[in-house]
Amino acid sequence: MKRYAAVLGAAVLIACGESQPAADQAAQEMTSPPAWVGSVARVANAIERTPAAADSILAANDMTRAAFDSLMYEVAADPALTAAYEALRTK
Amino acid sequence: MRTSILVLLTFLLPVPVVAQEPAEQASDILYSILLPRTSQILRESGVPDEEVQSVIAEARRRRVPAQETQQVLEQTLESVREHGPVDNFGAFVQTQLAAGLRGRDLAAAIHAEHARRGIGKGKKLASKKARGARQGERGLSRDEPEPQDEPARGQGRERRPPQAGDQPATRPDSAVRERRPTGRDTVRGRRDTLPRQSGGRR
Repeated sequence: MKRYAAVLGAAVLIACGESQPAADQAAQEMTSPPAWVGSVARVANAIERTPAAADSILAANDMTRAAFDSLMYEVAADPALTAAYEALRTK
Repeated sequence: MRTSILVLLTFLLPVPVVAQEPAEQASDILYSILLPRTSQILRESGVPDEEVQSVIAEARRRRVPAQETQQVLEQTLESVREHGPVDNFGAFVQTQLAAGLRGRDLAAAIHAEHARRGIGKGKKLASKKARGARQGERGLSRDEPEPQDEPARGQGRERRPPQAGDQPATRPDSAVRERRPTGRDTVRGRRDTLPRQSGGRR
Protein backbone atom coordinates (compact mmCIF):
# COMPACT_ATOMS: atom_id res chain seq x y z
CA MET A 1 0.00 0.00 0.00
CA LYS A 2 2.86 2.31 0.95
CA ARG A 3 4.49 1.50 -2.36
CA TYR A 4 1.39 2.49 -4.28
CA ALA A 5 1.16 5.75 -2.38
CA ALA A 6 4.79 6.54 -3.15
CA VAL A 7 4.31 5.81 -6.85
CA LEU A 8 1.16 7.91 -6.90
CA GLY A 9 2.94 10.78 -5.13
CA ALA A 10 5.83 10.64 -7.60
CA ALA A 11 3.40 10.65 -10.51
CA VAL A 12 1.62 13.69 -9.13
CA LEU A 13 4.93 15.50 -8.65
CA ILE A 14 6.04 14.70 -12.20
CA ALA A 15 2.70 15.83 -13.59
CA CYS A 16 2.90 19.13 -11.68
CA GLY A 17 6.47 19.67 -12.82
CA GLU A 18 5.53 19.13 -16.45
CA SER A 19 2.40 21.23 -16.35
CA GLN A 20 4.23 24.26 -14.89
CA PRO A 21 6.01 25.31 -18.11
CA ALA A 22 2.79 24.76 -20.06
CA ALA A 23 0.93 26.97 -17.60
CA ASP A 24 3.65 29.62 -17.87
CA GLN A 25 3.46 29.52 -21.64
CA ALA A 26 -0.32 29.82 -21.56
CA ALA A 27 -0.06 32.77 -19.17
CA GLN A 28 2.49 34.42 -21.43
CA GLU A 29 0.24 33.92 -24.43
CA MET A 30 -2.59 35.48 -22.49
CA THR A 31 -0.53 38.52 -21.48
CA SER A 32 1.40 39.16 -24.68
CA PRO A 33 -0.68 41.06 -27.21
CA PRO A 34 -1.15 39.80 -30.76
CA ALA A 35 1.56 40.89 -33.19
CA TRP A 36 -0.87 42.97 -35.24
CA VAL A 37 -1.37 45.34 -32.30
CA GLY A 38 2.33 46.19 -32.52
CA SER A 39 2.01 46.81 -36.25
CA VAL A 40 -1.00 49.06 -35.74
CA ALA A 41 0.80 51.02 -33.03
CA ARG A 42 3.83 51.48 -35.26
CA VAL A 43 1.64 52.69 -38.12
CA ALA A 44 -0.16 55.06 -35.74
CA ASN A 45 3.16 56.43 -34.50
CA ALA A 46 4.37 57.01 -38.04
CA ILE A 47 1.11 58.72 -39.04
CA GLU A 48 1.22 60.92 -35.99
CA ARG A 49 4.75 62.02 -36.86
CA THR A 50 3.81 62.86 -40.45
CA PRO A 51 0.04 63.07 -40.82
CA ALA A 52 0.32 64.34 -44.39
CA ALA A 53 1.93 61.06 -45.39
CA ALA A 54 -0.83 58.97 -43.82
CA ASP A 55 -1.92 57.32 -47.03
CA SER A 56 1.57 56.35 -48.10
CA ILE A 57 2.31 54.99 -44.62
CA LEU A 58 -0.86 52.91 -44.75
CA ALA A 59 -0.03 51.67 -48.23
CA ALA A 60 3.48 50.73 -47.17
CA ASN A 61 1.92 48.57 -44.46
CA ASP A 62 -0.66 47.01 -46.79
CA MET A 63 -3.51 48.88 -45.15
CA THR A 64 -6.36 51.02 -46.34
CA ARG A 65 -8.06 53.67 -44.24
CA ALA A 66 -11.06 51.39 -43.82
CA ALA A 67 -8.84 48.55 -42.66
CA PHE A 68 -7.03 50.88 -40.25
CA ASP A 69 -10.37 52.10 -38.90
CA SER A 70 -11.48 48.53 -38.40
CA LEU A 71 -8.31 47.74 -36.44
CA MET A 72 -8.81 50.84 -34.32
CA TYR A 73 -12.30 49.62 -33.45
CA GLU A 74 -10.90 46.19 -32.67
CA VAL A 75 -8.32 47.65 -30.28
CA ALA A 76 -10.71 50.13 -28.68
CA ALA A 77 -13.26 47.42 -27.89
CA ASP A 78 -10.78 45.44 -25.80
CA PRO A 79 -9.17 46.97 -22.68
CA ALA A 80 -6.20 44.56 -22.83
CA LEU A 81 -5.49 45.35 -26.48
CA THR A 82 -5.91 49.04 -25.73
CA ALA A 83 -3.35 48.85 -22.93
CA ALA A 84 -0.91 47.05 -25.22
CA TYR A 85 -1.50 49.54 -28.04
CA GLU A 86 -1.04 52.54 -25.76
CA ALA A 87 2.12 51.05 -24.29
CA LEU A 88 3.57 50.75 -27.78
CA ARG A 89 2.62 54.26 -28.79
CA THR A 90 5.35 56.86 -28.57
CA LYS A 91 5.10 59.70 -26.11
CA MET B 1 -26.26 76.24 -81.25
CA ARG B 2 -25.35 72.63 -80.57
CA THR B 3 -22.10 73.74 -78.96
CA SER B 4 -23.85 76.18 -76.68
CA ILE B 5 -26.32 73.47 -75.61
CA LEU B 6 -23.42 71.16 -74.85
CA VAL B 7 -21.72 73.87 -72.81
CA LEU B 8 -24.96 74.54 -70.97
CA LEU B 9 -25.44 70.83 -70.28
CA THR B 10 -21.92 70.63 -68.94
CA PHE B 11 -22.76 73.25 -66.36
CA LEU B 12 -26.07 71.62 -65.52
CA LEU B 13 -24.54 68.21 -64.92
CA PRO B 14 -24.32 67.30 -61.28
CA VAL B 15 -21.10 68.56 -59.86
CA PRO B 16 -19.01 65.70 -58.50
CA VAL B 17 -18.41 65.81 -54.79
CA VAL B 18 -15.27 67.76 -54.17
CA ALA B 19 -12.59 65.46 -52.92
CA GLN B 20 -11.61 65.91 -49.31
CA GLU B 21 -8.47 67.95 -48.93
CA PRO B 22 -5.40 66.00 -47.89
CA ALA B 23 -5.05 68.09 -44.75
CA GLU B 24 -8.59 67.17 -43.70
CA GLN B 25 -7.95 63.51 -44.38
CA ALA B 26 -4.78 63.68 -42.32
CA SER B 27 -6.58 65.18 -39.33
CA ASP B 28 -9.34 62.57 -39.65
CA ILE B 29 -6.88 59.77 -39.21
CA LEU B 30 -5.33 61.54 -36.23
CA TYR B 31 -8.72 61.28 -34.55
CA SER B 32 -8.95 57.57 -35.39
CA ILE B 33 -5.63 56.93 -33.69
CA LEU B 34 -7.04 58.28 -30.42
CA LEU B 35 -10.11 56.02 -30.35
CA PRO B 36 -8.61 53.29 -28.11
CA ARG B 37 -7.31 55.82 -25.61
CA THR B 38 -10.60 57.70 -25.38
CA SER B 39 -12.55 54.48 -24.92
CA GLN B 40 -10.16 53.48 -22.14
CA ILE B 41 -10.49 56.82 -20.37
CA LEU B 42 -14.25 56.49 -20.65
CA ARG B 43 -14.03 53.14 -18.85
CA GLU B 44 -11.82 54.65 -16.19
CA SER B 45 -14.33 57.46 -15.77
CA GLY B 46 -17.01 55.08 -14.62
CA VAL B 47 -18.69 53.83 -17.78
CA PRO B 48 -18.84 50.02 -17.59
CA ASP B 49 -16.74 48.14 -20.13
CA GLU B 50 -19.72 46.37 -21.68
CA GLU B 51 -21.40 49.73 -22.34
CA VAL B 52 -18.31 51.08 -24.09
CA GLN B 53 -17.97 47.85 -26.03
CA SER B 54 -21.58 47.95 -27.18
CA VAL B 55 -21.18 51.51 -28.47
CA ILE B 56 -18.00 50.61 -30.34
CA ALA B 57 -19.55 47.44 -31.77
CA GLU B 58 -22.64 49.30 -32.95
CA ALA B 59 -20.64 52.13 -34.51
CA ARG B 60 -18.45 49.61 -36.27
CA ARG B 61 -21.46 47.60 -37.44
CA ARG B 62 -23.02 50.75 -38.87
CA ARG B 63 -19.72 51.63 -40.56
CA VAL B 64 -19.36 54.92 -38.74
CA PRO B 65 -15.84 56.22 -39.45
CA ALA B 66 -13.54 55.70 -36.48
CA GLN B 67 -12.65 59.40 -36.28
CA GLU B 68 -16.33 60.25 -35.90
CA THR B 69 -16.79 57.69 -33.14
CA GLN B 70 -13.68 59.07 -31.45
CA GLN B 71 -15.14 62.58 -31.45
CA VAL B 72 -18.46 61.34 -30.13
CA LEU B 73 -16.75 59.39 -27.34
CA GLU B 74 -14.60 62.39 -26.53
CA GLN B 75 -17.64 64.57 -26.10
CA THR B 76 -19.30 61.80 -24.14
CA LEU B 77 -16.30 61.86 -21.83
CA GLU B 78 -16.84 65.57 -21.24
CA SER B 79 -20.50 64.88 -20.44
CA VAL B 80 -19.55 62.08 -18.06
CA ARG B 81 -17.15 64.41 -16.27
CA GLU B 82 -19.78 67.09 -16.06
CA HIS B 83 -22.80 65.04 -15.06
CA GLY B 84 -21.55 61.55 -14.26
CA PRO B 85 -22.23 58.37 -16.23
CA VAL B 86 -25.71 57.19 -17.13
CA ASP B 87 -27.12 53.74 -16.86
CA ASN B 88 -27.66 51.87 -20.15
CA PHE B 89 -25.43 54.29 -22.02
CA GLY B 90 -24.67 51.68 -24.69
CA ALA B 91 -28.33 51.00 -25.35
CA PHE B 92 -29.03 54.72 -25.57
CA VAL B 93 -26.30 55.28 -28.16
CA GLN B 94 -27.45 52.25 -30.12
CA THR B 95 -30.95 53.74 -30.30
CA GLN B 96 -29.58 57.08 -31.45
CA LEU B 97 -27.38 55.47 -34.09
CA ALA B 98 -30.35 53.45 -35.29
CA ALA B 99 -32.33 56.69 -35.52
CA GLY B 100 -29.65 58.03 -37.86
CA LEU B 101 -27.92 60.45 -35.51
CA ARG B 102 -24.25 60.94 -36.20
CA GLY B 103 -21.43 63.26 -35.29
CA ARG B 104 -22.33 66.42 -33.46
CA ASP B 105 -26.02 65.59 -33.33
CA LEU B 106 -25.25 62.30 -31.64
CA ALA B 107 -22.84 63.99 -29.25
CA ALA B 108 -25.52 66.58 -28.39
CA ALA B 109 -28.09 63.86 -27.73
CA ILE B 110 -25.63 62.04 -25.47
CA HIS B 111 -24.82 65.26 -23.65
CA ALA B 112 -28.53 65.95 -23.08
CA GLU B 113 -29.02 62.41 -21.80
CA HIS B 114 -26.16 62.82 -19.33
CA ALA B 115 -27.53 66.15 -18.17
CA ARG B 116 -30.92 64.52 -17.61
CA ARG B 117 -29.88 61.21 -16.06
CA GLY B 118 -26.23 61.47 -15.01
CA ILE B 119 -25.51 60.06 -11.56
CA GLY B 120 -23.13 62.84 -10.64
CA LYS B 121 -19.48 63.72 -10.91
CA GLY B 122 -16.89 61.17 -9.89
CA LYS B 123 -19.40 58.35 -9.52
CA LYS B 124 -19.09 55.07 -11.29
CA LEU B 125 -21.69 52.70 -12.58
CA ALA B 126 -21.34 49.09 -11.65
CA SER B 127 -21.02 46.68 -14.53
CA LYS B 128 -23.97 44.40 -15.19
CA LYS B 129 -22.06 41.44 -13.76
CA ALA B 130 -21.23 43.27 -10.55
CA ARG B 131 -24.79 44.52 -10.29
CA GLY B 132 -26.12 40.98 -10.67
CA ALA B 133 -23.70 39.64 -8.06
CA ARG B 134 -24.61 42.40 -5.64
CA GLN B 135 -28.30 41.73 -6.08
CA GLY B 136 -27.63 38.05 -5.48
CA GLU B 137 -25.74 38.82 -2.28
CA ARG B 138 -28.47 41.04 -0.95
CA GLY B 139 -31.17 38.68 -2.07
CA LEU B 140 -32.83 41.32 -4.21
CA SER B 141 -34.99 40.31 -7.07
CA ARG B 142 -35.02 42.35 -10.26
CA ASP B 143 -38.44 43.75 -9.42
CA GLU B 144 -37.42 45.11 -6.07
CA PRO B 145 -36.33 48.72 -5.81
CA GLU B 146 -32.59 49.21 -5.81
CA PRO B 147 -30.68 50.73 -2.94
CA GLN B 148 -30.40 54.46 -2.43
CA ASP B 149 -26.66 54.72 -3.07
CA GLU B 150 -27.33 54.74 -6.80
CA PRO B 151 -29.72 57.60 -7.26
CA ALA B 152 -30.08 57.65 -11.03
CA ARG B 153 -30.92 54.03 -11.41
CA GLY B 154 -34.59 53.38 -11.37
CA GLN B 155 -35.46 56.95 -12.24
CA GLY B 156 -35.80 57.97 -15.80
CA ARG B 157 -35.29 54.50 -17.15
CA GLU B 158 -37.66 55.28 -19.95
CA ARG B 159 -35.67 56.78 -22.75
CA ARG B 160 -36.91 59.85 -24.53
CA PRO B 161 -37.15 59.01 -28.21
CA PRO B 162 -35.43 61.48 -30.51
CA GLN B 163 -37.87 64.21 -31.39
CA ALA B 164 -38.00 65.85 -34.74
CA GLY B 165 -37.98 69.28 -33.17
CA ASP B 166 -34.74 69.07 -31.25
CA GLN B 167 -32.48 66.71 -33.16
CA PRO B 168 -32.27 66.32 -36.91
CA ALA B 169 -32.38 62.71 -38.07
CA THR B 170 -29.36 63.08 -40.25
CA ARG B 171 -26.29 65.17 -40.00
CA PRO B 172 -24.79 67.45 -42.58
CA ASP B 173 -21.61 66.13 -44.13
CA SER B 174 -19.65 68.88 -42.54
CA ALA B 175 -20.65 67.74 -39.06
CA VAL B 176 -17.84 67.00 -36.64
CA ARG B 177 -15.32 68.58 -38.94
CA GLU B 178 -15.15 71.91 -37.23
CA ARG B 179 -12.55 71.02 -34.65
CA ARG B 180 -9.38 69.58 -36.04
CA PRO B 181 -6.80 67.79 -33.99
CA THR B 182 -3.36 69.24 -34.14
CA GLY B 183 -0.95 66.44 -33.52
CA ARG B 184 -1.41 65.64 -29.85
CA ASP B 185 -4.49 67.71 -29.43
CA THR B 186 -7.79 66.42 -28.08
CA VAL B 187 -7.61 63.86 -25.32
CA ARG B 188 -3.88 63.64 -25.11
CA GLY B 189 -3.53 67.39 -24.86
CA ARG B 190 -5.41 67.26 -21.59
CA ARG B 191 -3.33 64.52 -20.05
CA ASP B 192 -2.83 66.20 -16.72
CA THR B 193 -6.50 66.19 -15.97
CA LEU B 194 -7.09 62.66 -17.16
CA PRO B 195 -6.90 59.50 -15.12
CA ARG B 196 -3.67 57.60 -15.53
CA GLN B 197 -3.60 54.96 -18.20
CA SER B 198 -2.87 51.62 -16.63
CA GLY B 199 0.10 49.83 -18.07
CA GLY B 200 0.98 52.70 -20.39
CA ARG B 201 4.44 54.19 -20.79
CA ARG B 202 3.30 57.71 -21.29
